[in-house]
Amino acid sequence: MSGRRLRARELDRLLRGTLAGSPAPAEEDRLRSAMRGAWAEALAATRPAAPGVPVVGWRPRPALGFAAGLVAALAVAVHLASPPHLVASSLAARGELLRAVAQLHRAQAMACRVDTADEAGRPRRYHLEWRAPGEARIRLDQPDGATWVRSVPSRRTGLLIGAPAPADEGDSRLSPVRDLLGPERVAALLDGRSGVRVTLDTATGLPVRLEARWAATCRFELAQPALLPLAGEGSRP
Amino acid sequence: MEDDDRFYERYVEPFETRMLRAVRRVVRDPELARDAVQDAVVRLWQHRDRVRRHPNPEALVLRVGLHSAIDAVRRGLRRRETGDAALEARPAPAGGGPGESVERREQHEAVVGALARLPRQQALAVLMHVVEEQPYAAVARALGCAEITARVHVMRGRARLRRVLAPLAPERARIGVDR
Repeated sequence: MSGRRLRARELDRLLRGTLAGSPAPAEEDRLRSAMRGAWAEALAATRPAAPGVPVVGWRPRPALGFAAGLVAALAVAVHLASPPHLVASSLAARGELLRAVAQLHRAQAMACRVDTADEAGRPRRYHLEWRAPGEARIRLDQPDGATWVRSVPSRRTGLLIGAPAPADEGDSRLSPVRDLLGPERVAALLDGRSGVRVTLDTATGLPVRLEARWAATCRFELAQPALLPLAGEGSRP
Repeated sequence: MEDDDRFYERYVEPFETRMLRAVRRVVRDPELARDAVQDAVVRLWQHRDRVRRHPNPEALVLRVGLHSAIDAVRRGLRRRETGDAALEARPAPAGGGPGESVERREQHEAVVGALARLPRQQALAVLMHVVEEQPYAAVARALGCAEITARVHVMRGRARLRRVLAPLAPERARIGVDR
């Protein structure tokens, strides 16, 4: 075949002869229909969907868009409104709060003993057992050997010590430990704002010693079935 | 949008029969021919602005159809080369007896295969000028080139086809062309 060529006229005749003719009318109609169908599809694809016709594919959802916008706005607001040092300060304060709450929760199952004296100078020993949630059980060992026990329900749950019920408020026997019953008072004691010095165990972070202004001495211990016998010291002012 | 609605009516429909016949002459397989005309319509849709502005929309529509036809032939050749049995079993072109159909089919395959292996511009120029009998000016407009370039495309395409298709020449012609 090398070097052999068709003449140009022969090539044209071959091309025209080979590529001559027309399809049958049915075949031609089929091709025409295919062309017009493709055109209709292309045209329909550019038109917006009629109302009520579901749009295929992604479309924005108002609720998700609103939520995304809200989150973005909050992120921007927090970022702009809180300088880094304020955020760190806030986090530190929250850390302190969490530590205090943890101590209180651990203290919910703690007990203490308060040694004091009555008007006649006779010693009185109170055993306070703080039970979760917010119930204080007080046992008073009186000099004559009698035992007086009261459970003081809490007005508010989730706090260290329940406040005394109204019926108990007038009981003089509660007065020496009344400051240790109300949650506000205990919170104040732990906060060091009521003239009471709190000693914390450096190992556990728990309060281990309370020195009240009325000179009663309390010792906080981990909840145990039996209270530790502690020597009383001090007296009422 | 209104222009788009009437585009087919104005620019395609007048040349519809000519285009589909040109495609069908190149692509004998009915399914491939249908793919080719649909592909041509999509191309026309994508370039409808160009068709509207074109000085010879008939030549452009014809060129787009032939472009799709060559692509269809190339796809068919690739499928044959990868051993697609379905293409081997395609029906013979209509007309003639069984023996004649096989001979014509083989000749058609050889000619179209040679055209499909040409550079695209050369193949389009040869088909438009030689087979569809479009003047060089129309070929140049359809290809978007100068008329002299269209002539060069035709000349080079012819030269290559004369070599490749020499075995298909009649015996009496082949004696004269041996050099």
